[in-house]
Amino acid sequence: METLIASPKAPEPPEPSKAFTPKTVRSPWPRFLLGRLAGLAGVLVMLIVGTFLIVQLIPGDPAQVMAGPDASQAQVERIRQEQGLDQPLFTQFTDYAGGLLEGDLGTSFSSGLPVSEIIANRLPFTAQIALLAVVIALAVSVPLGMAVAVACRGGRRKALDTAFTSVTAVLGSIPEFVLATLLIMFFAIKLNMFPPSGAATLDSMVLPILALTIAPICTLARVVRRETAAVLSMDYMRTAKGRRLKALRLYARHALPNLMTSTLTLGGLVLTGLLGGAVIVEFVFAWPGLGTGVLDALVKRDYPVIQGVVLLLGVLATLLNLLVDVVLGLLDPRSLHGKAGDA
Amino acid sequence: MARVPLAAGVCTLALGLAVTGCTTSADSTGGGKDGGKKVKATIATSSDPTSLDPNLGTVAADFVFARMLNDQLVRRDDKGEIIPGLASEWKADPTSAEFTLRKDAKCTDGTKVTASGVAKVLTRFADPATKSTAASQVFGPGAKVTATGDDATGKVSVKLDKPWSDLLYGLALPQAGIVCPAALDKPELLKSGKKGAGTGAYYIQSAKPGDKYTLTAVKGYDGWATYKNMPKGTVPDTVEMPVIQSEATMANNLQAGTLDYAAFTGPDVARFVKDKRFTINPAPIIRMMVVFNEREGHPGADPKVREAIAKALDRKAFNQAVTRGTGTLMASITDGSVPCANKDESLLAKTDVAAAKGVLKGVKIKLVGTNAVAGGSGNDYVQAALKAAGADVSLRNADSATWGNDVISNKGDWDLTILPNLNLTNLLTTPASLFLGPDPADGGRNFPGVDNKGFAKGFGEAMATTDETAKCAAWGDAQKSLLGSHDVVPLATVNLNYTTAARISIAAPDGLLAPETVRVTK
Repeated sequence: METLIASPKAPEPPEPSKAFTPKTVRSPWPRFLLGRLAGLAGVLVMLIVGTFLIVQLIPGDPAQVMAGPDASQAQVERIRQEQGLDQPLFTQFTDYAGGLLEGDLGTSFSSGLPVSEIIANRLPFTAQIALLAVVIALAVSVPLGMAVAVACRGGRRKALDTAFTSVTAVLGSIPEFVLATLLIMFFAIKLNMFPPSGAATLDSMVLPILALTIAPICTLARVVRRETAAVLSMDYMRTAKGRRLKALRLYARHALPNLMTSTLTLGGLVLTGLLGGAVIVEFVFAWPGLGTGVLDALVKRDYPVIQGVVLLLGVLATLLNLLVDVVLGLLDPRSLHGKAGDA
Repeated sequence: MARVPLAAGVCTLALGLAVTGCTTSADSTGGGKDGGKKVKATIATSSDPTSLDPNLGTVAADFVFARMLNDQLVRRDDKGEIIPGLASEWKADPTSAEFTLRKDAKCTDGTKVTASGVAKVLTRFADPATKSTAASQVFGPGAKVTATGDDATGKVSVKLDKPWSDLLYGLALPQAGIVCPAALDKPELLKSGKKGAGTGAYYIQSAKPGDKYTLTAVKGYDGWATYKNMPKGTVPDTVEMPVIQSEATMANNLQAGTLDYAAFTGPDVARFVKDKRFTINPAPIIRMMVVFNEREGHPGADPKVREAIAKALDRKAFNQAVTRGTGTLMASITDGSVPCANKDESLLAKTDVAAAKGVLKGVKIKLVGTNAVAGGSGNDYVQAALKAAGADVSLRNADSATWGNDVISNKGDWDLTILPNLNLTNLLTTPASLFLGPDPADGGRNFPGVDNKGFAKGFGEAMATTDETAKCAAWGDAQKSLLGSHDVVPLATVNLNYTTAARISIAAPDGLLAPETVRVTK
């Protein structure tokens, strides 16, 4: 994905000639979408193979874990047979891939529940905090970055600029689990304002979302500040300013659209990153989402659940990237050229 | 209750220990109310139960639910004393037992528990088709069990085809919980733990896997245990059991007042040591010992090498390395709190590094240990001590699943391991069964490949008598033989630290948690 800064008004295209028009002004969308769908299919195949192989690399015997510490080896072997773990790797893969083609993600080794049911139970929890986190991150970081850029334009308010840069650099570099722990210590244990874990009430979302959003807000705000500073120095902004437009209209209509490409691009990456960050944050806050699910499955060597969740996260990340590129294409058609094959 | 200076750093997740915690109140008359207000308790679980059918439980979270939802025929109090459960009276010998059911024994939906129904439940439990891994602990490995019930007299009879004197202790295990006989024909009800599935003090009201389980107290339940240290206070009407994997998160909840009870094996217990609002009660659930691969071609096949290794190690130094000295030194395959466990330290090899050097110099040893206990610091200590005695020791610190595969299933290349025996039965039988019988490859549990005839003889004799004196004498002979051959080198215990807030009380007879006894005392 590219970061492009579009001018608000592109030069007028030349008058098309009759012989020239049908061949040269062809819409780039079909090629773009076809390329992307082909890429998506390739990524999906890699994900299926990857998720299958990755669990084979995890050391340890799922049958032994399932049987428990007091089981005899005969009982362990019986479980291995029941779960098909005694089959050759290729047979296991064809069973797995065949099941996926029929929409069957398998059955959890430990709970006996269908993986799709486990995902259906947990996905809404992860989606809640991940989506809210990205909305909040965008809603805070864009105005914040723009405001600082405007306030510090042309080298003004150097102290504010330095403070902004320093604070966002420090906060943005704190790992999510450390931030989560600090938030719990202060807001849950010391001030007793929010619950330290669980998903029972609305206020239990506050600390996990804070832990997830603070770093992305800092990163995005810094990018928006830099991009805004660049946009403010453009000729068209000086022209617009010369027309004595009100500040809100000036920045909202002339500066903001030109930030959208970079902000959306980064926003997509942030959301993808949040899916990973949520695993750690969910664990710290005992949030019943996919993150705690996959960690629990790792400990139990519950292959079908690990495969199902990792596959889903991979597909979600890929689709998010595709969505961002489509939106970017709509905002700035120039971004469609040369990206058709990128997955 | 004792205070613990510092937590033993043990990984709860890897060992699958259920850790619990609770908030709030209720009365000991059952289904209690407090000033007309419904009383709620919150007991956390470190993972979802793998099964709500007690007979199929394999991890500690299963055992917590099993005890909440089902009564056992008998219960076990401090010092191994057997006390009433669903049965008010009993008599047992090594091959049989007879129980007289309480007249008011009921399922959680109020239906009467009959003797013939209990016999049906026990028959299913013992049936290999049920695939219960606990059945061999309760009835003995490969036992044929005949259970019959007489509804007129309320008597249940259990007969074994070979002696197993631990039968009463086994039937007191949470895995031996008696489900409601009527639920046997309703697999979905049995799996759900809902009203009518069990015979205990609670039933599942709602279950949200990965999130929380809500349990409701059975109205009119009157089967409470008669433990010597039975907590007083109010029985909660509702018990919530949120799933919290991380001990740190449990500790956060305890400190924030959203949990009143948790159990720790890791360092988070240190947060409560100097806090007067909490009490810590350590239970020596994990017993650590060195075990050798005694098969041909491995250094442990030579008794002299085993003895030298025993001499190279210092239990106190090990205890310091793993628990900072909070564990208890062991003189057998378990600690002295377990009935019939050896306490005679003269049976152990005395630390003598100089003597060990003469045998161990240049001996190559592959040490494979689990990092589930204190991050593997005990493995590090053993490696360093053996190196100091001249051995060439390579160490692989594996996660517990890998270690289980390589060592317990004997599928890896290993010479020596530090076994963290998670003994939730508090019986000698549990660790002892690892040192006799067939190899794992042949369906057995004897992962070190021990062939100790004296030990096997003592074990057999102990299982053949219910006379406590004779039983302990047989166990004494068995342990003497095992320790004399240096088949194991006892080290120290790692505690599970039950941590309670001042307003909560909960029984843990013999160090084994009885979560159904949770009471709010203030």
